Amino acid sequence: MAEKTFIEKIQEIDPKILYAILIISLLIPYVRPLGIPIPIGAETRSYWNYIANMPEGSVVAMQLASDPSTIPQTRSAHQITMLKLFQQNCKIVFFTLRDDAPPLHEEMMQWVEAHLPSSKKLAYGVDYVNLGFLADTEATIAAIVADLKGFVEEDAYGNSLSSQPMMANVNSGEDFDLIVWNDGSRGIYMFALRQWQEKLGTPLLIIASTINKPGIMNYLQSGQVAGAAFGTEGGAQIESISGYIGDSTKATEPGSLSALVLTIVLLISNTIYLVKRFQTPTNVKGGNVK
Amino acid sequence: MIKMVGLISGKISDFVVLIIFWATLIYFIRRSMAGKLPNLRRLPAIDAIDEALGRASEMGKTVLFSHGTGTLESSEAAGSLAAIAALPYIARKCAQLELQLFLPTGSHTAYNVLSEVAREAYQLEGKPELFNQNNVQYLSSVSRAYSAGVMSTLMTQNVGAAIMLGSYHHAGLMLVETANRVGALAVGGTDSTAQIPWFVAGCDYALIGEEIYALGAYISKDPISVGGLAGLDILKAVILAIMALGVVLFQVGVDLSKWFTV
Amino acid sequence: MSLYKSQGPIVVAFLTAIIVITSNFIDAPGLSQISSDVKNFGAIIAGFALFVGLIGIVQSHANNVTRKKPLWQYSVLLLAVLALFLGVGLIYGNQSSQFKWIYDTIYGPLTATTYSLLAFWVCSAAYRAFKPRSMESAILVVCGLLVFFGVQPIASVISPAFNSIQAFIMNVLNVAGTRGIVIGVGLGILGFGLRVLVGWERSWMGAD
Repeated sequence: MAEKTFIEKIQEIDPKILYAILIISLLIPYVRPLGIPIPIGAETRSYWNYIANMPEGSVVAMQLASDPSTIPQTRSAHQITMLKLFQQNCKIVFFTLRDDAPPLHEEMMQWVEAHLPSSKKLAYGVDYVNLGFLADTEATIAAIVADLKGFVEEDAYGNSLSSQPMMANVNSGEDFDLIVWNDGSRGIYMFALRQWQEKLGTPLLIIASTINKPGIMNYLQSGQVAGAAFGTEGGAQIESISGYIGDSTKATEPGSLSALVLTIVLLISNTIYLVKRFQTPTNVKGGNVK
Repeated sequence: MIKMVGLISGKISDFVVLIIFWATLIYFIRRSMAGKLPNLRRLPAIDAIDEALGRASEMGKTVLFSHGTGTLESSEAAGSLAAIAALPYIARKCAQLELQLFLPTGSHTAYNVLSEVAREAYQLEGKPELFNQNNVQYLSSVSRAYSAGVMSTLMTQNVGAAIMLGSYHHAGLMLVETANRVGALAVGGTDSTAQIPWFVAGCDYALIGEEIYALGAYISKDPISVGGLAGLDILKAVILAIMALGVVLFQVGVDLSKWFTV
Repeated sequence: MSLYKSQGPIVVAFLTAIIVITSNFIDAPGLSQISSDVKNFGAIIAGFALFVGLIGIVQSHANNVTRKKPLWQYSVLLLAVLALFLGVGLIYGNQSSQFKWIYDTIYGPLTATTYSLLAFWVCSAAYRAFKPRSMESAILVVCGLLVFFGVQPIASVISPAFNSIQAFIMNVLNVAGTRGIVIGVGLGILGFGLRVLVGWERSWMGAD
């Protein structure tokens, strides 16, 4: 049996070797940070400008559909958005369409309260209200938009919604000035688009994992989505703009390096493939010889 | 008259468009139900499914059919139902070739539908003893748990053909890759825009977007599905024409979109 | 099947859909309130789907255990963890530190692990599938590599052109492609909705 050429050996490389190279490239920046600057994308810039220009007293709906697996991608953008809105004295109504998201919300609230200036203390019912988990269907958003208090009578802690001071003039989707939709990787941003933004024209900002970027780009282009922060890169960009450097920035370097490694691997594999393909003799009687 | 009817300003054009769409669909569906079935070109996906099942039979392996992570009660039901419409054909082929067919699902309603369809298919082929109710697996409506369950089935049940159609979240890539790892021939299709690239890249044959609806209609030959497909094709042609016209008119300063916001 | 079982769900679906659809277009007295109530019903009933799913899971896996079906041991594990979460949640409350502990210890790492497998699947899928076998796959490879790499901060360090190229691919080429798919899928959903409305589509009822 003929010995395999170098090219053939590379082509038949065990995927485990690739995984090992990938893991090493992921670990290097944790050991020695590389200090790679983070460019700000247009959609993230647009997202941040919207948040930063929200007038005092605006009422914002923030939905969280991330779970423990996608929250590493969306946490930074979400909690920095919460912090910025509270700093600007906006009122926020929180809710989630995921049954496993409420503990994540509580974690992020703790982060926000720890980063607010000591002079600013959040008062429940005055600065924010948490509706908790609501059924994960489009009908939920339709019901909220039509008649919030008719649909949700109590908040996540059992308090009457009508008794919360900030909810006095918030009765339906019309009374909100902004929707911030953390989609995670669920792909349910269409609920907010179809039932809220399209009907009432309320501006919609999306935080989502990178896997949803191709679909959401459509709506960014058409103006239906005013801005978006995608994945860890989006979170790192938000951290960079806001100055609250955190886990997303730390995670972009491993992502960058592993992407570089993977790109090199793909280029090598494709080069080998093309070399083999053009090495195959042609113009022999009967055509290609294998 | 518009004021008499009480149409909301800004929604009038939407209402008119909706009525036109419905009327077109109903016309073509009624036409099909009256016997004038439009001709559907044979979809290459059918050949791919036949090839996959034949290969599984030759190698003495099993078949897995997944209708997606969407439940029948959600807005993703259309994709799941389109996938399930293809199941009678697949199940009958499996019965003919005496293949074991695994049917994982995350929907309780779909569990009953899948069981009935598969059992009936095996009965129609005269092989009811080959149908195994245990192969219809109710896993979980949570997409990650569902994908973990399907991956487990792919890896432990000697699957030679994996047919994955319907709405998928990120689970689609996991299933496609696992099917490739176990050497199964993967035929996949989804209407989830986030997963289409992975199905195209990973499956041996992929259906993109609404092709899964067309597959269901082609297989079932149901006049309603086929007529609906014809109606949708006409509507797509109209939309394309309007888009082209809009682009041309926009160059000369006429904004056609204003007509759609009356 | 009796008339009310075969036609009842269709009538309910038709009436509720017509109420919601017409309220979207027509401003009639009382219609918006009825429509709002219907939407509330829908959302509340959807909440019950969780409960129905729970019963289904328990029934299915209890059946696996009692009949000693293949891998029944995993069904025991599932039921045990289910009981743990339910028990802790009901006894201590879902805001308690005990519930948070089992959430952070069991649920969080498990979901994160499953999702993190995607990294390796992406790697092996890309290595295997990104080969220029034809013109289409060559375009896939080139665009895929440019976007995949261009979106990373390190690409901008190497050359700002990478960022511009990936932005062009995402904003122009990608939007054109996905917009077509989205329109097609949207029309498909429209057709499906009409068939459910009129009763031509019955598979959602569990019928053929």
